[in-house]
Amino acid sequence: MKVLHHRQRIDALGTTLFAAFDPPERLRDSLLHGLDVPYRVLIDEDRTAYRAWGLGRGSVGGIWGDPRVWLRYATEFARGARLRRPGRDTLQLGGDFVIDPAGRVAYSRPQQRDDRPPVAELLRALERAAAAPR
Amino acid sequence: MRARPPAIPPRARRTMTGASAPQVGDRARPLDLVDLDGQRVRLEDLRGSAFLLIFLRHAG
Repeated sequence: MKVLHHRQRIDALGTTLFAAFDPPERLRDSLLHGLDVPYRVLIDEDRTAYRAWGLGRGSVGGIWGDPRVWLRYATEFARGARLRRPGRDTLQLGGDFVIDPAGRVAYSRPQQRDDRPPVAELLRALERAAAAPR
Repeated sequence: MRARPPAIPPRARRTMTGASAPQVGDRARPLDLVDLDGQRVRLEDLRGSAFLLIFLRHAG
């Protein structure tokens, strides 16, 4: 949730919605624990929206066989992140999208592996979308 | 040294299920969910404002 560090800029341009498929209590206990999230977190336990937006599941090798995944976890632990129990489906892929004021997709980046785009890229896309004609 | 396979062009990306994600210029796909506070959120309620839509991976 690195976008949370850029709240001021995001709020000047629009907003952010998060979608998650874990149950609310699991989210509050893990990912959202200790976080002040000023944006709405939508719950999609049956993954209807995930499927509608073309977000499927990765392969075990593609997700857990990627050394960058382990490097990222090691880096986070070294920074003091706590070890958490894995969610119920670690292969479910996520994605990042930007929607313009007219309801059109201005940026689309479905995950293929553990490859979220840099936050700066999302913010640039949001800037362009906010400036789009309505 | 083995040659790298070509990168998958963004517009040709497909997920493991075979369904394709929306592409730039497409109308946003349906979104009608309830948030953590129990409030319903629909895509059409957000018309008129740009927004980031971030689908998270597992909570762990």
